[in-house]
Amino acid sequence: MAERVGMLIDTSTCIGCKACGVACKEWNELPMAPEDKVEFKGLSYDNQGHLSDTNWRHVKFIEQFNEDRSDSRWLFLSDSCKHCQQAGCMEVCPTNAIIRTEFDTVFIDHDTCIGCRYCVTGCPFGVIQVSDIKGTAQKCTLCYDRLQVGEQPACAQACPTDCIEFGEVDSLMKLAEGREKLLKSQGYDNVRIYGKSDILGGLNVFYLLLDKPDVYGLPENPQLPQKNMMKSYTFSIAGMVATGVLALLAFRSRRMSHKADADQDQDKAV
Amino acid sequence: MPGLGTSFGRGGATQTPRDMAESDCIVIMGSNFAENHPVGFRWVLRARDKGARVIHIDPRFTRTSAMATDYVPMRSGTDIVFLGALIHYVLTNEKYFKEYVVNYTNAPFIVKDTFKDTEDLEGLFSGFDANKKSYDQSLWDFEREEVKLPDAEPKTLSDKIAYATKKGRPKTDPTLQHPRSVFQILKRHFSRYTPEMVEEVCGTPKDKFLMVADALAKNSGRERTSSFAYAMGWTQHTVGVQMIRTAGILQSLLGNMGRPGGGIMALRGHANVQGATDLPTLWDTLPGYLQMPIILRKHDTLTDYLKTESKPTGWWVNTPKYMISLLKAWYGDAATDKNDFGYDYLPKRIKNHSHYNMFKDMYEGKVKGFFCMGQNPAAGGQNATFHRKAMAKLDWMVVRDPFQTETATFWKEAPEVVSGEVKPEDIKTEIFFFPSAVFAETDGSFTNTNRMLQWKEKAADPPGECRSDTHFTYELGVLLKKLYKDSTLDRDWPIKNLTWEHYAPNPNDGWKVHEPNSHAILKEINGYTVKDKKNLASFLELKDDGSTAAGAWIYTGVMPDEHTNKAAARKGDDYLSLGWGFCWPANRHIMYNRASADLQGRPWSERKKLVWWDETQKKWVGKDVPDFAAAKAPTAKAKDEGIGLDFHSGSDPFIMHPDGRVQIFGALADGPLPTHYEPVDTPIKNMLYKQQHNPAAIYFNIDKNKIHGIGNDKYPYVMTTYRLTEHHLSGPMTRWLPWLAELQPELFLEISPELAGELKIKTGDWVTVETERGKAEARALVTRRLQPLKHGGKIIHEVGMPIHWGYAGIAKGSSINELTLMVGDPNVTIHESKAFTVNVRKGRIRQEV
Amino acid sequence: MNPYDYFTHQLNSPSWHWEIIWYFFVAGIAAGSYITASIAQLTGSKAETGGSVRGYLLGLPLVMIGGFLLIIDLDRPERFLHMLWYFPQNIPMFKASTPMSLGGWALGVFGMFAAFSFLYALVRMEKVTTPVLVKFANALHEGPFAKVNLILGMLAAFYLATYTGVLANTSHLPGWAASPLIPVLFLVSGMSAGMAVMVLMTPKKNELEEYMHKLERADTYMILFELVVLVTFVASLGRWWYTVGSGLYGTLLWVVVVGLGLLVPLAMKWKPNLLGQRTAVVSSILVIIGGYFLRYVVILGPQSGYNGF
Repeated sequence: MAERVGMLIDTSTCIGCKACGVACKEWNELPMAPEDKVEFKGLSYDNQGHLSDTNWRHVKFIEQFNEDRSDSRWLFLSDSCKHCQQAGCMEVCPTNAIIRTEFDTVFIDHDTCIGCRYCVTGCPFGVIQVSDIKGTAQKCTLCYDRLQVGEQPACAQACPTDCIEFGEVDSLMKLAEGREKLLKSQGYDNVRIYGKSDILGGLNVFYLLLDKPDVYGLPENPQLPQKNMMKSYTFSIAGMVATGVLALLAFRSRRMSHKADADQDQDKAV
Repeated sequence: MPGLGTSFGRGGATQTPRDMAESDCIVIMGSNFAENHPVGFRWVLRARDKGARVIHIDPRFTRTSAMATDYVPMRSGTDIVFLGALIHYVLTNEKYFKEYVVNYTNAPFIVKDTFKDTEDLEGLFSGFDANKKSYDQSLWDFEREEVKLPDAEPKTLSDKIAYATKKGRPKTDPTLQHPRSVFQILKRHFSRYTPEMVEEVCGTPKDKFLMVADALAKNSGRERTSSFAYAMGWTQHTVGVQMIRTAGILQSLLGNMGRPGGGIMALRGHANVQGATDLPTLWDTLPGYLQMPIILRKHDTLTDYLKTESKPTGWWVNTPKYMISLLKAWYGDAATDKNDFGYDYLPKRIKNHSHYNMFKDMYEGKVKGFFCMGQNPAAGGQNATFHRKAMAKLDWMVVRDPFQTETATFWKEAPEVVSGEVKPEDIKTEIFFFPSAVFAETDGSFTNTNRMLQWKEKAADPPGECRSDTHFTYELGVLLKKLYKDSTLDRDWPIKNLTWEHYAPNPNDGWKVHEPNSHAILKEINGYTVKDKKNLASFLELKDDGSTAAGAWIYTGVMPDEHTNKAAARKGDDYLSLGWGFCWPANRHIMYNRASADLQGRPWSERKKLVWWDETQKKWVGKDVPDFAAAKAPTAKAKDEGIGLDFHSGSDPFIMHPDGRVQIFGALADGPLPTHYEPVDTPIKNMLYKQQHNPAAIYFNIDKNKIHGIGNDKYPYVMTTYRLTEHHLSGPMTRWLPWLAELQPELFLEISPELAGELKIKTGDWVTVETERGKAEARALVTRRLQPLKHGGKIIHEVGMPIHWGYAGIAKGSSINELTLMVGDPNVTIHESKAFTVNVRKGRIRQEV
Repeated sequence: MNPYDYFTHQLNSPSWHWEIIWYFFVAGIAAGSYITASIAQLTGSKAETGGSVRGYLLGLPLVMIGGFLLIIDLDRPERFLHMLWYFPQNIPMFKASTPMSLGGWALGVFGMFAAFSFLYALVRMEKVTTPVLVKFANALHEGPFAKVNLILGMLAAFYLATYTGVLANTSHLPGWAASPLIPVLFLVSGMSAGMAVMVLMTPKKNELEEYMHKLERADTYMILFELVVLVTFVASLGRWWYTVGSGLYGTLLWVVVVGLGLLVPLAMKWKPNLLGQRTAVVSSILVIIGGYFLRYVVILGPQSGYNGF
């Protein structure tokens, strides 16, 4: 296996230019969104709205201004698949169409995917959508085809401000820690790294955020969907026992009482 | 261009974006740097990471503001007040870099007593002719010593011209105390530009203004440098050139010019806009910033022209060499000293032929045919309706663009055609659409915002019948030359003798579509010796005797020999990267860099060293190519009798100017010093002077081009126009691309919640914006990024709209140019779309019945 | 309001619509009827099982319909075999971490047991008389293997009835992820609906009265239990209660599912002659409709408003 690669998304240098998204679409030959969805959305400068089958990368525009503008900021976040160490999509995929590559990235095998859409809800970040055209689940591949020939992902190459830094995860983490320290010293008190090993075992594509994750629409503490599964199975067994017992009770009760009941009923009916 | 040229000598950005990373304070004003120049903006972020202040001063909180350390709001069109107040602050608090100001600028020069300031004449300078709406600039000259000439006889044409036009050296007062010294005039001129005035006129809170002033003062001087960045937010005003001048004066006072991390970054929007000005596509210049001949000046013969245009002292003493080399490049062997090298065959301007006048002439039937290449006037021209009306009067029009732009389809898709006001059959213009190739389908060079030529290789053949503009122009030339081959008329001489054949494509270039030989074109631009066609390595080799040819002297050196194309060089390093591409002039990255050293040629400080005098090598050395005579010692004395650079001392860094210094006081069509005038459409009257608007502004008294004037109740809101990262200009290269169209699919109006509340408008609502010129409809984007500003007691609301839409393409919408006004700055005839007034109402245009 | 609020604006809906609703519904009935019939088979007299055996007629066809629905719901239905076989390595596709994989197998396994019972029902109804088949079917339902066969079959049925809930719960859509009670709810609802279908299938015969009575009583228990589970479920959703409990889905839940599908039938169980002889029929139909809309609400409600819905 090759080294573990990923990307650091440094929101302190993201200028919201969306070049990453365009480069992504160009390289991966993703179409424009369906025409009825191409419209002014009023979400600041975001007219894509969401990661989707046609948007493997999406830039969020977060305007936060108080009334007198004394506290004002406009935050940008270039979002994509995080290539989690514990990948919910991969865990729930019933056909092993979602696999981990030699680069330790999460990749959807489009020859195996059946389009059941379970991964869509298995992802804690809302990354995946199934293509209406191809019928398979779509998301960032971290440009697997480019990695295989030694190129960096298209978005990272297009990013004009090095906000998207591609590389080996451990060294990116060191870079991020350095940036975190620098920004703290410049007065960005809430700056933090999102995606260390405490988040789903570590995100290969991780973030340097200027504030709490929920400001950016990221979950504070995402979990694998399987966290629910065992509890759910336990309740299933309890339910099974309860219904079984109830049914048994209904069918095994003494005949005489039934008989009496039935007689009574018949009397009434007459 | 004249904004920087008048102050420093050349119109180009004085530094490079890369160099901005070395700044300690960056003021971005009149520019949305991050959105419109995202690649260069990385260096601003680099500076910010290193602890620099990044201050964005703008009416709107933009993606640039988001990245800045400080955002300062202001009203559109009041930049001179803000900058003037900074000058006032620097002068009154003695924050200027005295040694720099005394020695490197014309602050100590003494102005003639015929000069009267705006302080004396209520907003006008002396010499104003109200009928002609122009100034007699001779009243603003300096007091001069008597003229001295060298003893030796002039040898070359250039020498002769210089001898004939030589002026005396201006008188100076190095103590800066003389009441008519530039310094004292400046002080008086800006005395009313106070922080309180800023609050009143710009609407900027005083404390925010003082924060900027303090940051600039603290980050300028020997140890630190500050830099300014501007773009269309300064240029597109009736006082745009003077806004740039104000910054130039301020930066010179602070000693920030020619130094690492200092200067004025003129941000050019298009990848090749600098190149287009250099070569040029301008109506009034020839390649390399030589004047296009005009009948209004003494340009009758080549000698007349050279006497008028070349300068006896400073670098422009070389004008004859550049002009004659240009004529040799164009007319080849047919250009001889006998026929003034074909000078007479150059077209002569008879008036201002700028874009608006050209369309006015079109409208009036004087212009019959029109090549429209890479331009979209039907959507991108100010008062777009008028532009379409003008084009409808043409006999024929050729449109070349990758897509069928609004200009190509105005006859069937324009709003007035859709509404039935104009019928397609009534438009007689015959339109030929030629699909054009795009940048990757042809090789050639771009000259970017740092004056850097970068070569690009052709990557693919263009599809179908698409061809590059070069290809089209070459083929057109071939056809014309064929048509005129046998003509004996003298007027056809330039067509017959134009050198053309060497551009012929190479049929074995490996492509299906053969492009004209771009290396031959580059060689012609670079220059060569006429006799043996040897490439020239430097413009120092250019001659005024017809022995050299060069298509654009400022580019000489880009191809120093037949096998070297410096534009294609790709050797970067961790600072200026002299081995990457080619920066004109002579690969100098930071212009006027002699000013980075003190009078003795030592860097002002170790931290800010760039170019210095090496006593052992007896030459200037450093991190950049010195912008100075390479072996001229800093101690060299100025020769009063000298011509050209001899007139300058070893410590006069601004070699282009006759006196070798920054022209703090420098003549322009609207005055020698910047003065605040309100935009022609303005909500309030000029609080500084009786004179309301730029007295020399150019107006167009044509159909539906009405001005709103001052405080027009029908149009109470200030509008500013802007660009988005997602689109380019009027959108001909972006609104047809699905990936970009979806990112910004519809025109929108940015409006503050305060105003939106008054008008009961919510985000997503349709709104109609109206002016006397026309109407545009858009979706509302209610955002606190816009804010109402207090001007004295009055609240003024500002709204904003991006410029990119039109009625064709994937992303369609109103063009904001239905609203804009044709009006011109007196220096460059640029319009004023950054500040005008509008009305806004809820609903769509058609709901009004 | 933050337009990028994580819980309300960031997650995607899997676009599970009518195919999945119907699949969950028929799978519930298939499992419920099989379990009921099996319990009756294991506990009742020969006379009684003459009635309950009809329940065995439901499992196989419903499983086949369910399988069909599952396949057509796929965006690449021609690849449905990938659920069972991993072609890149040519090994069986079995993955314990995903309820969908287990569910696929469970559907097949239950299908086998349902087929046995289907055969047995045909034998009892004398539609199949081939001696080998008769012997085989009887051995599995009356003979020495009856207990093993039926208990294993019931386990498969229980899994089939509950895993759909586990499946929804093993996700990130708040309305599904918030409560582990979905599988119980689906099971109980499947049981009640399955029993209701069996009530409808039972002819009016004197020898079946005993069976009918027990069946109706079992159904009553299930309805009561379902009410309890449903209320607990909605309460356990916490702040996400609105995804099923308010708006269009809430109306359907409270009026159709709870009112018409549970409370009215309960009233009819309590007053069996409310509508004369048709009471049992009407109440059973209402229970079945309620069972359908329960899935409609629980499947669509939490997806509604999310990207891709």
